[in-house]
Amino acid sequence: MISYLKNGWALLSIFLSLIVIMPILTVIFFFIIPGDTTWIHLRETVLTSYVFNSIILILFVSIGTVLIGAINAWLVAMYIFPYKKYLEWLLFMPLAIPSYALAYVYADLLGYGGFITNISSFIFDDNLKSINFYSIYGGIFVFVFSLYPYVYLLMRQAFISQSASYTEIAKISGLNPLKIIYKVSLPLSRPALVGGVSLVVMETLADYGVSDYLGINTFTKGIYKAWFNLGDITSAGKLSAILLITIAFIITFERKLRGKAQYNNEVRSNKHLKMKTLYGTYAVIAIMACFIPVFFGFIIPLATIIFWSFSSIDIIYSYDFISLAFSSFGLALSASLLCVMFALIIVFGMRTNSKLVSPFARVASLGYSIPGAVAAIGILIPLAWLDNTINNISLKYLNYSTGLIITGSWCALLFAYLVRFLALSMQSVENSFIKISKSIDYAAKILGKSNRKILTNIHMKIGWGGISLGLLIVFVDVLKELPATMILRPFGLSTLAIKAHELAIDERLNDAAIPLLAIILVCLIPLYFLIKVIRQE
Amino acid sequence: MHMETNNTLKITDLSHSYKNGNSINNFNLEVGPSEVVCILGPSGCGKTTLLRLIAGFEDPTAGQIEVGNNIVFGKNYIPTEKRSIGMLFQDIALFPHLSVKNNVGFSLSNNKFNEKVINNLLKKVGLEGFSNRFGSSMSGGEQQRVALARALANNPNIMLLDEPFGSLDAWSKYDIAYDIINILKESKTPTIMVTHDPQEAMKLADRIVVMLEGKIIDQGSPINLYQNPKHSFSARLMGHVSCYIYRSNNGFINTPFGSIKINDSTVNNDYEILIRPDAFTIPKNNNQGIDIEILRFKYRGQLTEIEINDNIKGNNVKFLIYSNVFEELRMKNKLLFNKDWAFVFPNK
Amino acid sequence: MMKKNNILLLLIFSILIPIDAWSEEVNLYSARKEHLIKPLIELFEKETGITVNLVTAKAAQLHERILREGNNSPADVLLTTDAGNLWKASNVNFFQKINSNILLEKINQKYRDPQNRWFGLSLRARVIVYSLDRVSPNELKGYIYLADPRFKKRLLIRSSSNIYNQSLIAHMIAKYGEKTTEKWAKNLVNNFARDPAGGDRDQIKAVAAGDGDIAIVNSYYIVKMLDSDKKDLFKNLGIYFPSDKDMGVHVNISGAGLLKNAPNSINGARLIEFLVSDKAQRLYAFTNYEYPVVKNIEVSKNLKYLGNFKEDTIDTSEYGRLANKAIKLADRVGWK
Repeated sequence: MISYLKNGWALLSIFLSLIVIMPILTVIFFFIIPGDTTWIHLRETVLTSYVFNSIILILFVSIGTVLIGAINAWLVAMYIFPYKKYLEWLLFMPLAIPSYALAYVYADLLGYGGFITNISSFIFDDNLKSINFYSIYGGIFVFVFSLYPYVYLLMRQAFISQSASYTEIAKISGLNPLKIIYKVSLPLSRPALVGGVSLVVMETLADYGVSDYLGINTFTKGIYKAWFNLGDITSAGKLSAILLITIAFIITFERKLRGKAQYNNEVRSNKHLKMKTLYGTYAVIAIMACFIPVFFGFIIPLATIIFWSFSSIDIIYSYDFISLAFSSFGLALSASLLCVMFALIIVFGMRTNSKLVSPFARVASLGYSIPGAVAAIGILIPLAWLDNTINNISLKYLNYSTGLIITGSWCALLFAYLVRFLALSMQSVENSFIKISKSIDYAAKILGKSNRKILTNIHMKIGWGGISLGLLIVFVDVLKELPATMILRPFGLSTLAIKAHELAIDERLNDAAIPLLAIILVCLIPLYFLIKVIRQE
Repeated sequence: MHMETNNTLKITDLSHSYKNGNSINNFNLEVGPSEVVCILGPSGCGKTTLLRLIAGFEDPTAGQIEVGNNIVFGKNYIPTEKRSIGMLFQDIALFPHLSVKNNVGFSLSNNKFNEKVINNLLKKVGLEGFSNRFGSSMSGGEQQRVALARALANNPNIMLLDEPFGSLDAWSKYDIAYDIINILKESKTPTIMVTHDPQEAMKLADRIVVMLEGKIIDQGSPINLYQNPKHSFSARLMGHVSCYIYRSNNGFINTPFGSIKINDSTVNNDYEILIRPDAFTIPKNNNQGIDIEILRFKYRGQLTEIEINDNIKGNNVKFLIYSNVFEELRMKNKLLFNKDWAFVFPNK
Repeated sequence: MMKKNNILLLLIFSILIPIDAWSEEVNLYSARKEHLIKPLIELFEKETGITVNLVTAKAAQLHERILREGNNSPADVLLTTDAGNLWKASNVNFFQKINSNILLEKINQKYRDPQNRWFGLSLRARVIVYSLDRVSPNELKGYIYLADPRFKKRLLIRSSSNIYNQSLIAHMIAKYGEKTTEKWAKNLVNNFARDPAGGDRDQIKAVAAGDGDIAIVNSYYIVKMLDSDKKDLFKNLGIYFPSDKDMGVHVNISGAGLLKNAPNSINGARLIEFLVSDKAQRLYAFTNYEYPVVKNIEVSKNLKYLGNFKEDTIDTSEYGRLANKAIKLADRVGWK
């Protein structure tokens, strides 16, 4: 026991994890409180349809993203075809565009007076008919084309690093190409598939902007409704807790299903697959398959937003755009640094004492699956309590009112980002540290280096690629974040995302275009580095 | 669909080239049932390419490959899936997500009969009871045995081994290697093994084929190659040699140990002389042999390196001799040179 | 480490920021979006020299934040776009009374809290937008008539999760009682041309596109659209203010209240008073297309064109009181 205590790093990691867990616990706390009439009302009326809608959404979005992501990852890893050099990286691009931007774009294009409706009525000589995008089908479309890159990213990595020997053995054993994919390549890439799909599912569940704009009644919407419309925090807490528990359950279930089967490449010599060149019709099919998601997920939205921005460039805005961009940028930067700092300490702490630290770290990662507004309130409650306590103490002893220190500042907001996105930075840091063999730790220890030195001089230098990946991923997500930012932000602080959302809801899409473009352009920068880092590996 | 099992392999005039220039030229080889042929050579010599061509992962630019009675490349073409080949890899490549049982039965359909087949195969490779284990919990040698069972399950007409023992640790390497080779010979499956390690080739092969830059430069049983190499490269490969370069003089090459007669007496050329340690023994009676003055010596285990004075060129010369012979040499200072163990090659 | 130091600096800096500068200011929590409230704020700042610190979010989110912030909440004024939200806030004692003659004189008691805790600042009516080709004038009556089966598959309205519909339902409950309203809502749902999708503007567009014949929307939306460069798309639409002998037009307010623990209560009261000044009211009318709460303020051409209408007598404070009942009723009848 004493040796545990001596391990300062493990203790620090646990402490940091607890900080992040606190809001999660606050949310779950309400699960335990008995429900009242509102809860009963919800249960009897709309809860089932919320659950049903969420399940439909998740189901079809998962299928869609897996189809697009896996097929394209396969094509890109196994074959050579014209334009592949560009398509391979273009397939990542939708990551730079927030999903709600896709909702704005397609709802407008397909709506009354929209570009596509006009064209189709021109072609088909129809009365001006519109497609109702404000539905769960619109939501599915948006999420599929916005989120497939997560699956694509992970599965491409998995396919590329799979040793060629597996497919060769399968071939020798008499399997045709289709059977090889089914019996070997796919099963071997299962962790990547599961990882990608769980990211997609969590992003879908935690989403606010898309369901708000398209009016989809999801489970998360139910949480908002209970909390904000009906004013019943207990019901909202129960719903959030249900959400969390379901996700935890699914993750555990999948782990159990995997059982003893291992999926890491035990092979030491990484024999890379030789890519086959495609010609003729096959090449065309491959190009189309890769191009379509890029077209719907990136080209059309970007082109539309750029087009919108033309007509608003000469409109004088009533806000200071530069300061808006600056504060969005600064917020995202501080949040990503904070997340990575926490992640480094926690992951390193896990390395020194896995059994002790891991459970805390795992619970802390659950923050990713909490919808932003829920996380915000989960933070607001304890922080406000803290603030009020400090204020009361200072009033009593110093006769000075400190006011709300923490909640009225960037701190609360950064805290919310930490809770929401720690999981992302942890995963990147973990992935990069895994490659560092433990012998290096031991060698450094013997040579007299303290744990802190090992972390800063060795791990951070070697694992720099994964660390910067973590920075970039969190940066992009914070830049796009809506609900938590709206609720927790201090005075005078607005972000590009909030600005765009407010304008879009008010149908000032042309005005919303400039902040959206700013978000996209800034997101492209880390995306560029992300691609560079992946390319190197 | 498996082909008729007539266990031979015949490669005729095979050629293949890569974009970066490496190539195989007019390669010919035959392997009979129960034969274990080792292709030995440095990296880049084309040996792995050869295996891949036989397996069908790539297609040659010219030539013919026959497996059993069937032409798989040439006048006819049969794709990899249907060639009934077995293969072992250096990285073993057991499917990590499948149990031992499912790995072995990978090419088989799921029925009661095949369950028995799998169990028999596991018994054959000495892994009875391992059915439900997973590769990650087994040693490298055990994994390679499973890979063998997996390959045999497919009733292969030939076996291709791509440096299969390279990743096994030195202690158990040859135990496992012998086991596997024996199993293959018992099943009468012609086997081609590719390796860069002459030790492996010496110990395991019936016949060794030495490859260099895409061509066969030497071929024969291990003993043959040891005693009668036809190329300086294979001479060096198959055992220790002391190496010298001397100029011929009217049909004779003068070495510090004696003169060697060569065929061409017209031109005086430089020759490479490679001498095995077996060439040096101690004469039985004192009239034979040459006198040796040992200037320096270095003990190197089975061999000892001796430095003596070269009465031809004037400087010192080193050579290798068996250590037990050396002990006697120190006492008697008389050396007997057996020219049969000296190999002469034109100096390129 | 460099990064660690930067974080620390950032955190310290951010904590210090809210510490007051010594200029006059007022803290506004606004449910009206920033670009819509900005003109009014800028005018106020120019006239009074008081800096306005702004936070915008949905009304319910602001409510929750004020609740959690507790006694030390820095909010001075809460501004919403619906009466229900104001009522909810006053119901949990967020507001303090303002004794202002200006406010009492300029604002009709129908549009403010009986106990002077919150005040309406602009009005909007929930109107019917209909297709001139497909709807005959004799079909246009009061809200209660919309449940008539003749409108089957012809009615377009947004989701019940929107506060404007909730207030309408609350109004109906106040007028007709819960039982009748529930029957009305159930039949209304049967008349939906499609599941509620999109906002008020989308309902208008859908009527123009022929997906339905009648839409129920807030007045300022249609007025704005008729004033925009896309007005040709809507030239076949008419506007009708629903009323019958029992019930007049449902009118909702946007309004504000002064928070109980406001650190700058005097400035807050000034802000609210400013918003009923003629200049501010004109801004409401011309830039936001709403009806001013103050009488005899000039309105935009289009609003004038719509003419006068008969409002219902029920106080706007009822909307909030019955909001929860309205939401649950909507859930029960399946109004999505």
